[in-house]
Amino acid sequence: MPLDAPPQLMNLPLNSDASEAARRDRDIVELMAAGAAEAAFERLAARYSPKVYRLCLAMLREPARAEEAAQDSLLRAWRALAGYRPAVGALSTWLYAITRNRCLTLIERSGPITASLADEAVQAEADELAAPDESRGADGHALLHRLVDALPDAQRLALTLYYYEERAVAEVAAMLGLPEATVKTHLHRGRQALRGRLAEQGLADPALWL
Amino acid sequence: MNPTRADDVFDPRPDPALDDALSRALPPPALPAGFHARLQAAMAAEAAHDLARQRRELEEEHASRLAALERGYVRLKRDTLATVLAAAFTAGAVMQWGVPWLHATLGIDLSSLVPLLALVIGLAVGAGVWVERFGFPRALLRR
Repeated sequence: MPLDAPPQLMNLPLNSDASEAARRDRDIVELMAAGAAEAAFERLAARYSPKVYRLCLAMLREPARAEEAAQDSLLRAWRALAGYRPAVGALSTWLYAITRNRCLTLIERSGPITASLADEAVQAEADELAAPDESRGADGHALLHRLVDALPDAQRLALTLYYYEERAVAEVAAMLGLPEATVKTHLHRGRQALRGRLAEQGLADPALWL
Repeated sequence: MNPTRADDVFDPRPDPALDDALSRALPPPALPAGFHARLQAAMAAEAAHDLARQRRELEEEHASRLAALERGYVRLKRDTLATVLAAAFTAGAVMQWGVPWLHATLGIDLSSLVPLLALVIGLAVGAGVWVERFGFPRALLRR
C-alpha cells in the first residue's frame, strides 16, 4: 500500500518535555520517519486497538457499533497517517481524536442510546437485590453497570473508561481529550451520584451489591 | 463538560467498597474475536479499491486522449483533402484561363510563368505561416 512518510517526520526531536504518550509512541514515529509506514501502522493498531475499541464502546455502548466505529477509526488513521505531525501532539492523542470524532458522527447520525433509572428492569433488579439472598454477586454488578449507564454522559464516560483503563486517569484524560483535573471532577461527581442512586434504590449498604 | 473546582477532587479511597464493586462491574472488555483480521481485510479491500479507482481514472484519461487524437487526425485528413482539391481546381483554372490571358496581355509565356507562380505561391504560404504564428491579423483587430 503506498503510504510515504512525509519528510517533516525526519525531524522528531523528543526532548525531556515530551509527554509520556509521545515517548511511548516514539518507536512508531521513528518507523514512519524511516518510511516503514505499514510496519508503523501495524504497531499502532496492535498497541491501540483495544483502547480505541474501549473508547468506542464507552461512547456508543453497543459492542457491534463500537467495533464498526473502532475499525473505521483505525482505517481513517491509516489513511491520514502520512499527514500526522509529531509537533501537533502525541500519536495516541491524534488517534483518540479521530476515534472520538467518528463516534460523535455516528451518534449524530443514529442518535445516542440512553439508559434511564425509570426503567422497570432496573427497579426490579434493585428490589431483588434488596431482598435477602446469598448469591447476588453477578446481579449486583449488572445493576451497578446499569446505574453507571444512567449517569450523565461526561460522568459515565469518565467512570467507565477509568475502570476499563485500570484506574489510569491520565489515559482516560487523553482518550476523552480533557485535562486530568476535569476527568477527576467527573469521576468524583459520578461516584457521588452513583452513591446517591444506590441509596435511593435502598442499596446503600455495600453488602447488598458486592 | 463541567469546570473543575479545587475541592472537587476524585479519590477512590474513602469508598473502597464501591470502587471495588465498580472495578468488577466494569472490567476492560476484550477486543472482539477476529478484530485485527477484519481490519487487515478492510485495509486490503481499500487498497484494492484504490488500485481499481486509479486504473479506471487512467483508462478514462487514455480514452479521452485517444478520442482527441482521433478528432485531430480526422480534421487533418479533411483539411488536407480540401487543400489538395482547392490546389487542383486553382491549377486547372490558371492553366485554362490565367495562362492564355497573361500571354495575350503581358506576353508572358509558360516557361517564365511557372517560376513566377512558384514564387507567388511560396510567398503566400510563407506569409500565411508567419501570420498564423504571430496572430498578426487578430492583433490588428483587437486594436
